[in-house]
Amino acid sequence: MAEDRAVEDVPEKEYASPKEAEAAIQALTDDGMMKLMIVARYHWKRRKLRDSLSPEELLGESITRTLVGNRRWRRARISLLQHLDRSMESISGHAVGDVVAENEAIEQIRADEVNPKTSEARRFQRPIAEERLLARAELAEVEALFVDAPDAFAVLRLRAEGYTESEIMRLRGMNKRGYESARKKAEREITKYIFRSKERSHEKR
Amino acid sequence: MKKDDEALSMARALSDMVLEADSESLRTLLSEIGVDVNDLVLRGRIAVDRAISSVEETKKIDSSTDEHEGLRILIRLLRRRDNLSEEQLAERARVDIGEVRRIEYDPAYTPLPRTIFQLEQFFNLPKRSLVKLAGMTRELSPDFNDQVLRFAASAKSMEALNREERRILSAFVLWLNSRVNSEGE
Repeated sequence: MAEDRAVEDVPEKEYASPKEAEAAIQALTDDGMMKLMIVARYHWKRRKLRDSLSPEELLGESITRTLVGNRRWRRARISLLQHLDRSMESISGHAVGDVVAENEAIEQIRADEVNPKTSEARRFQRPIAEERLLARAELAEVEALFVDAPDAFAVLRLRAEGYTESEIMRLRGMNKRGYESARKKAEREITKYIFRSKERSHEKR
Repeated sequence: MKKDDEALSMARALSDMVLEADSESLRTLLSEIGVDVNDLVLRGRIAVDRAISSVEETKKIDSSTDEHEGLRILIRLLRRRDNLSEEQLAERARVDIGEVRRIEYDPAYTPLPRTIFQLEQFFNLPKRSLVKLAGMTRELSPDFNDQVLRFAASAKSMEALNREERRILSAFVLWLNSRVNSEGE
């Protein structure tokens, strides 16, 4: 999360130039590309973007922003894959904001016709409430994936809380083998969840 | 931790697990759940190529517009310096009047090579100097672009060809001369 601290005074040499970023993007392996497409689909699914932005467009946009210098890759701190993942996370968040704002405007027009006094208050409250609701639903959805795999969920949850591998093993009383098995189980559940066919992205060429 | 912060941390942990996963296991798993890995990779590559080309295309358009801006202003100032109307310039330089107008008013227009040659001769400019300004060559250095942009920025707001404008014009033509001559040596 340090990447998001805008005020931080970061030495220039920690960033890749757009040319260096382009070279690294061009050199992405098939495995790297596969992982990027999985996380692109994850952000697309998480934000329920459906037809507004496809996973491919999300990936393309993160690359465009990196190459034009709108979102710089701090290569001294994070890998290129992580950088593009965080960019997609941010872009998908804004894309949701755009959809919410559009719906908002439509509702606002309708509400004003009915009661101009109440509509103003609702305009400022709804997005935050909506965000919280979505966040709660999202956490419940992830938790539901692991009802039969408490160790796998613990690994995921503790990683989200910032614990390292050895700390997780200590906290959960796991040995290396147990940890690896839980981690693999978590990876499997996550990947299956990302590609669960409830929402199909329109495939574009 | 608030629910939305918790969801974000969870999302990052989830992404990181995918990014750090063993590629072979991921491939196997994707195949098991019916995802065509080659197709997935291909779609990713297409998205990446598109993004890279669109950025390159935008850079080209920006840079050629800048170059045309220099040409546009230079021709307009030279014509006004010599007290010529657009028609008179077209007639004397033996170029099409439509070309002169498009050069002066359409920043994205790339003139015909013959027109450029005729205008260079008419205004007594070194050979290939206008070719460079018209963005018909890719041999432009950042320094060249910088000078053209500075010239365009200083000249474009001036309505009449006043003393300052004449000074800017002469200085730019001199610089263009020296630049083309030094490259020709």
